[in-house]
Amino acid sequence: MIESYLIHLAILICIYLILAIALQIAVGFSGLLNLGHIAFYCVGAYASALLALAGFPFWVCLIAAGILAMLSGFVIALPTNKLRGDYLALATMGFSFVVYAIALNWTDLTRGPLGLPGIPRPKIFGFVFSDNLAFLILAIAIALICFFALKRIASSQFGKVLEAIRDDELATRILGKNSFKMKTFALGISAFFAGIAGSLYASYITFIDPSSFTILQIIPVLAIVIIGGLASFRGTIIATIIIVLLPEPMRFIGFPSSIVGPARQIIYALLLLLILLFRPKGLFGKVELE
Amino acid sequence: MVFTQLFVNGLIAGAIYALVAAGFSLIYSTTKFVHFAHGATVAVSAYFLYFLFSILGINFWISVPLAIAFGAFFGLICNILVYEKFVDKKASNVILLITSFGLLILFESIILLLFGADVKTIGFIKISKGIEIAGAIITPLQIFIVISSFVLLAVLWFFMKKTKLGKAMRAVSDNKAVAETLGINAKKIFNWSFVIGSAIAGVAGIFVALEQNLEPTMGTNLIIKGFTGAVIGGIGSAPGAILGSFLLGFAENFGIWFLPSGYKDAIAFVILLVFLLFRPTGILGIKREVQK
Amino acid sequence: MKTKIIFGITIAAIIAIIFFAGCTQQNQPGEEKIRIGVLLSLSGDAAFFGESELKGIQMAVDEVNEAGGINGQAVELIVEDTGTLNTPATITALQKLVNVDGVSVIIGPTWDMPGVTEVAEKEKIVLISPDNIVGITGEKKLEYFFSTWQPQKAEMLALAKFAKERNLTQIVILKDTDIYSEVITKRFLEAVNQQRINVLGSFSVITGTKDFRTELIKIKEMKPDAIMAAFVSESPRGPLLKQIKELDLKTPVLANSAVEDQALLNNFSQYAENTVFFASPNIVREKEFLSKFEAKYQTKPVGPGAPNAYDAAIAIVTAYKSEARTADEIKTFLKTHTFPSMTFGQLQFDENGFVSSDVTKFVIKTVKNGQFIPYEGS
Repeated sequence: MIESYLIHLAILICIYLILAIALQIAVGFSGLLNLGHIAFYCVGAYASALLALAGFPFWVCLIAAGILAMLSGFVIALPTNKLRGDYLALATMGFSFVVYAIALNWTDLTRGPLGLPGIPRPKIFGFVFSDNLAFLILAIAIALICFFALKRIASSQFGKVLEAIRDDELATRILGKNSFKMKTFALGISAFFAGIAGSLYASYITFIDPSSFTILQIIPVLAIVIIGGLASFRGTIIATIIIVLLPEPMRFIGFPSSIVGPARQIIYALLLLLILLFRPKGLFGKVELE
Repeated sequence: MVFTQLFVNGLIAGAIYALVAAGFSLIYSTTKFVHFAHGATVAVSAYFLYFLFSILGINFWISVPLAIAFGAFFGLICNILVYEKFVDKKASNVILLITSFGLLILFESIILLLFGADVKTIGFIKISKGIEIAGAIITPLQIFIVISSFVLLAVLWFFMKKTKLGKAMRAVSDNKAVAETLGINAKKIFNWSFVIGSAIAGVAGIFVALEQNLEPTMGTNLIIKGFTGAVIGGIGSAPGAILGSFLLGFAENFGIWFLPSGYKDAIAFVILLVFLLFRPTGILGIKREVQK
Repeated sequence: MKTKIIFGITIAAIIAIIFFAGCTQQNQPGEEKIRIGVLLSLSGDAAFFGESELKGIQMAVDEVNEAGGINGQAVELIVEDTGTLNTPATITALQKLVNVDGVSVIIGPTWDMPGVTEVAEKEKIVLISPDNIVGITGEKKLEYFFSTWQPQKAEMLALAKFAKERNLTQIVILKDTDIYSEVITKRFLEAVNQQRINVLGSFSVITGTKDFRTELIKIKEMKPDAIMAAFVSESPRGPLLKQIKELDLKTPVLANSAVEDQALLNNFSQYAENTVFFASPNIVREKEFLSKFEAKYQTKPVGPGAPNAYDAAIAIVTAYKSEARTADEIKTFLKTHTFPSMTFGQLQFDENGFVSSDVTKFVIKTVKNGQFIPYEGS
């Protein structure tokens, strides 16, 4: 019976892993502090949910989620291309709010706060992934594909140029690279995979509403990227496992029920701070961001 | 008259954002930390006032300065106990960003633990009746809040321009390395920034507690608005932050006159985006390298 | 290298703790205690609901245990905090309660989370919420879901009738953007249409807004007979009432029953005086409930949901007393029996798991002299 609990956690780990590695491409590899990452997640989830509810097959929903998220990535990339560091962070954070407001207010499409219930589980070649164990296998497969795809991209020529842009954009441009075009692509790729994660999330929970996509949701994902170490794939895997599992052991500590809520939050925050203090560069980080 | 009432509404909202944004901006300008836990400072000061006045029954006019002082102390502690450790380890600003989120969650949970989740109020003003001025209705407390933030703007401007400490802060804000060679102790300046900035946040907390109510999560919403106001006004400049906050207040209130109220936050952020694209230094921002 | 090893060990340790804790929980002879899961919001914006609900449940269970438990067995509550409207975290907590602690019944969640009700349905676990009003926003019928909150359709009908009788026929609605306000407004609109009451307009503010001044100017210009304030929380409602008085609006305010919260009386009763009207389930055994509650906690319940949660716990205990043990047995028992209820006198569930409107009798209440009292007509 306990396997069901562990399977559920493993699925969450897969979803967060894709989301986190997507953010690594932007933050770790390209030096783009994109605090609007959750907006891509949101677009992907809603796109996938709406298509699934309209009866489209799963793979269509998945890819469409990625593509639509990627387009939204371009939408934010183009105007913010020339912004640096903190200002980019603010602009992308603003984008996150705008997407949230749309999800909340465009009720004809998204049903606003009522959300979209009854999203069907994926169906591939007639097999429906309604059992969680089956879904886990699907999630692992998708996560692995995303992981290796992104690893390939990161270690390609394109990826190396991104890292050069992160370290010294001016020099890269002097050497003839169109840094704006490349940063736009990087954000687009990052958004694509965030959209895939969103589709997976919507298909698993089978219900989405705007409250899953507020600005606060960026905190765990950003924490994973930082704790794992910027531009480190290995670090991201370990950090995802840590962050997703961090609240769990605390369920087994017997707090008196009157304080159980805040007590656990306090310990979670303290542990987070301790991890950050202990390894400010992250587990496998080799990079500094301004 | 509708226009004057909207103007007054914008003034009141802007004044509260301004008080939050000013301290935040002051801290950012010298330390370059995005101190999100500033929202916790607001909440902590408000709850401390509640503790002194509503629970212990201490005289209101003694409780208020104590609460402001406590807020200043709290901000200082955040710096000394937490941020400094990270600076010593040469951590990047991204780490400090996450850290400040962690601190915000931590202190909101501590408040929840100590005071419970239910909404509270400071019962100092018994009945609030509006006064009509030029066709708009405003209460005495609201007038006081608006005037206070104007006074603060003036005092801050004077402080930064004329006093020795203010000049030292500007020096560190412009170029820390050079300021240090001139004999300015940057660490001390950082501490002063936190003390002054957090004291202002304490004032904000007290006003919000009196004007609206107290709840453990009150800091989060306020810091987001204050943050926006600070950027619009120029994130390196405290007086600019105040100006930007008023602009935000006006934009929100005039904006939702024409648009559905659900877009209030989106209005704020569209304005933010517009400013970032066309005038990233903000209204009064120090000319700093923002673009590449 | 050393630090990586340390981290590796830490992760392994975390996983090991979970696994072993889970195993030991299961190996314990479960026959000694009857375990009921509790899944409430004890942090975040909904915590004011969750805290008072927890107190109600705890009071019920302590009473039962002091009276000898269920046929000699003590009742044990396993409490999990879900945060506020955090569907993945709530599902994780539910999974832990069901698959690690082995409960068949869960009291909760706080506020509607359709994603969670789906999972409970799938796992075939009885989920009984003290405050949910929807269950699932779709056409699917739920078998294992129950709620002990006052049925909103009936409540809004009573409120609309009152408005009609008092000739409040031009109404403006003020709501925010969470699922609660959304559904209450829907029910109110249905009821009001039946009564041929005219809705002049509807304002939907972002949840968390506490400044309504600009919306109120617009409302003032519309000159309504009444304002319907559909909010789940005292946090926006209190300042709203204050601002209405400040802006010299003399319109009465209609509200949903969640307004009957001691927090309002503690904070802004002067602004609610003679102004707020709502349809209360008229807690039939209110005096009894309040004296028990105050004796135990030295305070009135601050936050809605306490009597509803108490009722939910008693209903579960009654089911267990009749030897029902599995989720199927419990759900069948709940659907086919009547229970004592602090809130309604008698509690009966309809086919959708909500409180049957046959047992509810709404009474219009208002605030007078700092108390909630039945309204006695002009």
